[in-house]
Amino acid sequence: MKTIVRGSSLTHPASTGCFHSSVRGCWSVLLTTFVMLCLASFGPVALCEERMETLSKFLSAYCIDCHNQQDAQGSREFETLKLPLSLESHLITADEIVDQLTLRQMPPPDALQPTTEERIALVEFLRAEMRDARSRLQSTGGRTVMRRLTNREYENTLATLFSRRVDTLGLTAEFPSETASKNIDRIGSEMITSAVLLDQYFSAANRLVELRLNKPETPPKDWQFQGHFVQYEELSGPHKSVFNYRYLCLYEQPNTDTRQGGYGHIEDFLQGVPVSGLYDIEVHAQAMHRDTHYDPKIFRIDFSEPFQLAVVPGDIKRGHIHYPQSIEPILGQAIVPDKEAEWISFRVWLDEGQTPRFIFPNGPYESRASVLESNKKYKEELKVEKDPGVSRAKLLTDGKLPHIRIDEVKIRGPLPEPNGTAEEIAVFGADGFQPERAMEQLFAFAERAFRRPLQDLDRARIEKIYHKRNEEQSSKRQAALDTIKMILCSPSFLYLCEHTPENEPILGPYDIASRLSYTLWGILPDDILLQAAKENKLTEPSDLKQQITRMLKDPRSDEFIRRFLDSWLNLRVIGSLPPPRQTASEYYSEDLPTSMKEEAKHFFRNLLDTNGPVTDFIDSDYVFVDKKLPKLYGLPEKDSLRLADGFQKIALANRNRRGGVLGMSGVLTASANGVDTSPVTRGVWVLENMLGITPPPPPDVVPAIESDVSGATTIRDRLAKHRADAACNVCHRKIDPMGFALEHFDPIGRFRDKYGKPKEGKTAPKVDPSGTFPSGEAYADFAEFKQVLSGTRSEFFVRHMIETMLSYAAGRHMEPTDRSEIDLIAQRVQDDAFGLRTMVIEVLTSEIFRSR
Amino acid sequence: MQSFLSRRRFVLKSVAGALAIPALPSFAEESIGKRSVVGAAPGAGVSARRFVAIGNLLGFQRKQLFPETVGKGFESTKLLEPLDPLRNHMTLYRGLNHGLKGGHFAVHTFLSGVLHHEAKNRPDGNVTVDQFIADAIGNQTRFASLTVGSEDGIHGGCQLAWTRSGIRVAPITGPSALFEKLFVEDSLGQREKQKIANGLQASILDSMVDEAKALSVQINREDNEKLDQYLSSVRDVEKRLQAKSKWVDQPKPKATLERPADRNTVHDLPLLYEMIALALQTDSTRVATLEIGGSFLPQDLGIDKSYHGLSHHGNDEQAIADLVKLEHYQIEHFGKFLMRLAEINDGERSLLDSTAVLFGSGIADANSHTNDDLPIIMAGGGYGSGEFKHMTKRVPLCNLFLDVIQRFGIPAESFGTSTSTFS
Repeated sequence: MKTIVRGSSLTHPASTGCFHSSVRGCWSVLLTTFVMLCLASFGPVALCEERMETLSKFLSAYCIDCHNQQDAQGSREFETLKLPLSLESHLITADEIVDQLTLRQMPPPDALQPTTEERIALVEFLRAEMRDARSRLQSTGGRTVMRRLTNREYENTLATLFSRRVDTLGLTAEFPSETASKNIDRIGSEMITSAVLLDQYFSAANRLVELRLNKPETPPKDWQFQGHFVQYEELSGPHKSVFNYRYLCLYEQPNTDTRQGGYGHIEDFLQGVPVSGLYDIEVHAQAMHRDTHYDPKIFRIDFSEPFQLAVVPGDIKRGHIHYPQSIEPILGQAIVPDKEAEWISFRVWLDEGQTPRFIFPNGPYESRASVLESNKKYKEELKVEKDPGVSRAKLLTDGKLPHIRIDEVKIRGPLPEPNGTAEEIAVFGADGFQPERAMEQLFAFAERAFRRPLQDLDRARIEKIYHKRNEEQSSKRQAALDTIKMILCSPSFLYLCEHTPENEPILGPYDIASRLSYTLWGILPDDILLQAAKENKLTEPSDLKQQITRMLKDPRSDEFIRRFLDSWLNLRVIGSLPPPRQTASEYYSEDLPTSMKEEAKHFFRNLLDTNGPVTDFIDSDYVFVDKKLPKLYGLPEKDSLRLADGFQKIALANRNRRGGVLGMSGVLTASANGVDTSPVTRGVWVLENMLGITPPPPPDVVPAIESDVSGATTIRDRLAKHRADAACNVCHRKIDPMGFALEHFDPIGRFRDKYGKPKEGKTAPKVDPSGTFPSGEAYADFAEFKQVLSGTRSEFFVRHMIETMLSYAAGRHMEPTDRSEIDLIAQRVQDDAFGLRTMVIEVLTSEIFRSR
Repeated sequence: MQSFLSRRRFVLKSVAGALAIPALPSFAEESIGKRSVVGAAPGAGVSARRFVAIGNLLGFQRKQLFPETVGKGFESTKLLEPLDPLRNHMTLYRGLNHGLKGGHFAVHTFLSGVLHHEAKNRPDGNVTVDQFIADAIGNQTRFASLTVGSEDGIHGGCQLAWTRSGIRVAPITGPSALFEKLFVEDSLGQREKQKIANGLQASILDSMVDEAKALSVQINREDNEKLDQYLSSVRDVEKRLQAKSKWVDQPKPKATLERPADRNTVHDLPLLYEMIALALQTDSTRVATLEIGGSFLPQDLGIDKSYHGLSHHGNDEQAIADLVKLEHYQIEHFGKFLMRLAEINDGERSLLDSTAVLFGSGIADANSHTNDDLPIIMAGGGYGSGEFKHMTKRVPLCNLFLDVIQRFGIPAESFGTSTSTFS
């Protein structure tokens, strides 16, 4: 199935079916009328023979003459097409008929033509058939299919089991990427377990256990580095001639295109640390020339903020030491003093073979370009006759180039952990591994890893492998470590395999504990939750509610917010749609993707903590911003906020620019493609993600309707032309008005009044944000658009959010059988002033969530 | 680095057409800058057959690709021009296809002839020709096959390689990872560790099967389907493990080129080709695929449009010109790859003579979403007829694949949707 429904083009997102909300209900009059607009007059309720007749009548009249089994013109024949559609090839055929009729490409001009009404009726009829066929083919019978942990859950679970960060190991770096279904990446039936993945699970377990639990006893050692700070190729020349490698300098942030001085490594410590452990790193550093009189535009950074210095791991075996590497979590971060060099200390975790590298997170953007520019602009001041180009020798001796300068680095470690390492204690208990209690210790670990009491078969397997390895290896410890690896490759660890017996519809307490914990924290249940499971206190909604409330208060529930936002609003794609560096340099220089995601998270968190109304997601008179976003949003707080203030709730004077998720730059970026915007793409985004309505895919052969920046026509003009065709208009009258209001925002969410730069002699066309909903409500601008949504579509919005949250939490898509309970939840949420916390609690105490 | 490469390529491109075949080896040598990248000479595997397939996501402009004249006297075309010096080493086919439709949704059938979702009903699933060959001869080399290129693209991307069990073989996406796989040697200690790990993994796999079987009686039907997927993956891992154990003591070839950094698929394309050539030369593998898919961005060739958007050109001249530029680039580097193979000795003959290279796409016309008039070029490995063959009647592309398979000496009577052998 998925090959036909998945994926999307830039301007024409393909979709899973017809114009409908995935689970329809008769929850309000409004909803029903809107659905009426979307449904064809032929419903799936009609008898099979009648439906077959409808189809045959049309096909025999207009198609079969050429597309019969003998002739099969264009390699297509429709004689064997049967309803209900049950073969993939028939779905493809139906899809092609819809496309051809929509585009009026068939029947050919010299053949008998159906009337417009007939065409549209058949198109809608076939769409309904296709939609039903797809939901039939995709149905899992309202049950969650055993799902494995997502790569992220897997990694976080290991970090919890081992009580130490594992992100320095990049355990999942080579795992196959996850497949998302309707933007959700934890739908059991859609997740793939391949041989590559299984092989990787073993490698990951093997590496983790050996590096962390089988470390050779290593006494702490001191290293001191002074001089001989060789840097990136192009920097070597000036650094040798000017400093004789005395300084390690950082010239730019790591997020640039042309790399020159973004990563500072220690040339004499390339081999890295001998063993995984905690290390103290002391750096003697100074922020140079933050008060430079050079034009800030050259560097594109905020000189009012102190320079930051951060440490990331590097590994020469994993790639260039001057380049970004796949594994580089920030291990420590500090402010660098301006006046004179001072010692800055970091205590960081490094794994075997890793060497610390220094970065300058808020450093100049593209150092090479800034050197070129500074040399040119301050040529006279630098007293050079010829433009030195990209050479930085003169700038370093006489110039005022902003950078960070390090002149000494000390490293000490591994720091002793006298009571045993954190990992040892987490895996084997406070006393560490005890050979005589090996079995007991391994059972206890397996119980934590499996998140349930062990069964006899589990114990037998563990004993078997332990004894086998004990015979093959000389040491009991090694046998125990190998057994740990086996546990970490076990299906009971990797899958949420729910052991509730077939005849009990409601999940048992341990299954609920895991489901809840992976939903809210993305990790295995904690002791409190397991204790509640043990006491059988999780099957009743009231008990469950207590746990949910506790877990939502814990900051670990940020994981739920982030991952749910990735699924609901598809924020996951931010970062994978890179805008051109020339036109959106701040996206890179200010690391906007991070701020974008954080804005949405803070907005959600606030509503969750205050049980605020979810309708604020549609429109709000406030935003959450850090120091960076107000510049993008044109808010006065750009001058008053400091980086250190983090995110603050700011009252909005003008709702026509921001407010609600549609004003968030993250959403506006996710609903564009990085390069340009389209009311069609954004309209589809609003329908799918805010209202839960999936428009049918466009005919495959339609060229993308692209914006024309030359100023001749606007995309609006071209869409108007497109809608003049009755068949196109069927969908576009519903899609386009959902996107027009967002035309004020460019691909990274900046406000605009006009499109692009005009060509010579022409004026850039103005943005027209007005539109009319298919149901008749007109709006003049973005603010009014949001008002119409709030006023007439909030039920759709609430319902879709509930469905998505249920799908996310239960790991399966909602089906028609789930309707009545969704209605009930929606009603309760409405009765409680649309509170977000109420929604989350209702979803997580629902029968849908608690059932297998 | 970037500008250096592209400038050099540009110069080469302009002289390429003027050179006749006899001059080819020295020319090819120049084309990679006289780097003797690999120290070790090929030992085993001399003159062994190899197979490489390159597929792109959005096809080629047929008007600019296919000549009018059939046979040896076919005229060059805008898109064939980079292959002019190689015409006696290749055959161009028109009219081979899989008889499938689905536009983008059928691109992934390029090397199998079978839609992924119809794999379940077939004994060999939707196994692709590269994996079919790899299953038969892959145990003779360190890597049974190499799958390289774009991870994704519109409607899933090329998805060029599939196993018998219906799982896509994910590609190695950049030169850096490919380099590591091919050349970065584990230390002696690491290899010893690897051997121990292999033994442990075998025991763990047994335990996983035991557990999965125990689980299967406790879970419901839907879950059991997932468990089947799990178990078939376990069996695949067992096979991999056997191969791994065999190669753990054999040294990897030495590379004198430095580990490259990943940039983007457009600029990395020559490097990816180069490393595939090295993999063949060093007999690290005998089967490789390269998918030119969603990560091949027009922006990197100075065209600020979406590739898929362009492909629906609606006969717009500028759009077609842009597409031809993108496709020309792909064919140009394909040609350089062939020249590179031609200059590498493989016993009595050249590596190109030992290697059947397939180039094309699973989509014929991305503008109208047809999959029947596929562009197919076969080069080297016995396919150097120098002809343009235009089939008047439809011939299953799988017949050609069967021919490729049989030339390996693999006793197969059919492959995918083949109807007979190929002539």
